Amino acid sequence: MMKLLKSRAPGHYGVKADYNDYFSHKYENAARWLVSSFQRNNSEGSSAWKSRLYHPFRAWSRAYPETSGYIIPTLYDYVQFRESEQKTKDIHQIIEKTVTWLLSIQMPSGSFPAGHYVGNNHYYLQSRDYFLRRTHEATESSFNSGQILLGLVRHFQETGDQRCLVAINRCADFLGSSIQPDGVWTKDSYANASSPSYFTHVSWPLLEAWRVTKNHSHKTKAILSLDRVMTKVDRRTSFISNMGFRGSDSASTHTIGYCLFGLLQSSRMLAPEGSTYEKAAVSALDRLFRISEVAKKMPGGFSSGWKPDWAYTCVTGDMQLALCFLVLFDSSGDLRFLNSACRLYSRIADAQEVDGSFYGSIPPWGKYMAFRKPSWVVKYFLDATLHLWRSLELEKATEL
Amino acid sequence: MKYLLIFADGKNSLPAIYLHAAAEMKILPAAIMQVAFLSPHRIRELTRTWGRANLAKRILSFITPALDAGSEDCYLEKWSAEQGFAKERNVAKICKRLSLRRFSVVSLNTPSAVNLLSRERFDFAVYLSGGILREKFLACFKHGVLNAHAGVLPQIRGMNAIEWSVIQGLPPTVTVHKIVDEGIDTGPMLIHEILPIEKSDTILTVRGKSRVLSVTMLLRAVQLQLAGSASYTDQRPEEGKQYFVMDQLLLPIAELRLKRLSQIRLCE
Repeated sequence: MMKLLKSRAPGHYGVKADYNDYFSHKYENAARWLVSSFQRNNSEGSSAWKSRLYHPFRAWSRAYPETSGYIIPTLYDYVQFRESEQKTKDIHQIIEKTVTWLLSIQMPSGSFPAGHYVGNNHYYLQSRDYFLRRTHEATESSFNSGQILLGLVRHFQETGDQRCLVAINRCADFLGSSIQPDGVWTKDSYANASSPSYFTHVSWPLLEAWRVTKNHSHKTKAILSLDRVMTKVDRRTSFISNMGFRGSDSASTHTIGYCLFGLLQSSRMLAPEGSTYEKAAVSALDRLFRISEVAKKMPGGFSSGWKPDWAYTCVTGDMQLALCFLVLFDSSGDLRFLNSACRLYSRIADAQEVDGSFYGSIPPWGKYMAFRKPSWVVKYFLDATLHLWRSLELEKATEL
Repeated sequence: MKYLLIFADGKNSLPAIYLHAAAEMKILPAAIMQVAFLSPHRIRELTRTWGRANLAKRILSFITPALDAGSEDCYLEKWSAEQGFAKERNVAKICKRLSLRRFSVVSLNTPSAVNLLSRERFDFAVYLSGGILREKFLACFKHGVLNAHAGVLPQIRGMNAIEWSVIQGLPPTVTVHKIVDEGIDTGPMLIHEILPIEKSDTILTVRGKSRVLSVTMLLRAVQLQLAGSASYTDQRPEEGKQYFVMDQLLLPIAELRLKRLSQIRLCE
């Protein structure tokens, strides 16, 4: 008891003084869990989530093409971080097998399918399909295609795999063809024609594809969609409407994170042209920064005019926003953004389970992915860990 | 001219030592206003700020007597002993001995606190702690509320100003300014002084030293205000940034920068 009393009260001084061990432990633990999400499927994709409630015996869900795709860059980052170690061989094998699997399920249109892969070109599209054992034939998904593009582009950049280049071209052509002249995405089985604002996270992969394919129409189409999102920015509050699932105004920080990160990355890729996208993202992030700093935590979601929902914390959203703040810190050098990222990170890192995973929400029964441990939470946690760790190390090395 | 001393925490040494020093200099306040530390309102506010676990730890340390040798207050205690001030730390007893009126409120911004101040008509106030001050409360003072801010103004406003100053390569400084509106540390500045730092200093020791400097500078500011010779310099909102509580992951960098700053200062 006396030891407790004598320790510095607000968890402030001396704690985590050497953060290398702290980050290393968190990072390794999370990476191990993420790798196991692939191993459960014989390395053909990563399971979407783990939950004994939804899947009492198997625990793991089926492989999820969307997240398997965008986890590939995270795995490459991990491999590069652990460069010298033997165990990265396994990771290379996982990436290779996953890419091969993804290419095998690409649809004739160039799109990648929605849902969790069951086998024989059939998918579970909703959580209740697991209980009803109801499968669906492959359906086109613009959003999922965009996320998978991120993985394929990275794999192509790392290996020069020509199969990937063909797939990237086909997928980017599909995405280009699914945008109407007014910037609305039409071919998405989940969002239908609502074209939510978080589809900026499809425009950005399309720009990544443009860098590889050098096809100017891919860039033009991405800009068309980004410009449409710009019309949804409220100039007074900086709130971007339709950021939620299916274009709703009530959004979790997960889709807000998608929207803002998509804008920031698109702006970076289009520089100096895309400065308006960055401005919109920075204004929105400035609002989020103040709300979270004053309250000492980030709400799980927001509705119109940044009305917060304090009932839960969206874990993946916090990590995505931490990444956004880190991008802002990189571009502005403003240490307050680094601090904000640290605060979001510290809170989530403390909620890491012993096996390295995270529940979708805090508390676990919160609105987002209740009682499930999604693989993309771990992906964003790994991305945030590495970015934050590097930023702190760079800052440490900077002379006054 | 009469002034009011405002503080929140009933246990730390700051208000008691301020009163001892003010008595010595014959510039005592006309009354003190104490915000109850464990009121439901404050507990709600503190739970949000510190989190449940840290708040519980604080409350436990509040009810235990011993002062941690490494705490920020030990510098204040050392200075008080050097000045030969009385050892009494119970503010209620000090007020009784000095015949000072003592008001206890749940929050500074409650209507009862504002009504009380409107009746009493203090010329100005000295603020040690107690939360954000609202317009209605500030309007009760003709010459505003004096506050010692442990950071360089106008550049570093808000929380953990010492840490933020140091990490930005600015020397740790105490600035006395006047709180005139709800803006955080945006009021006109009266006096400022750079804290002397040594090679062996850590953020914790600098924080401790800044508490001593805050007391002496507040007393100096009160003297100037009472003598009618206070001359303020305005600051514009865009001249500085507002900072929030620094995360513990950034503290090792702040410590490193402090070491570097002390080396630079020693070379100078």
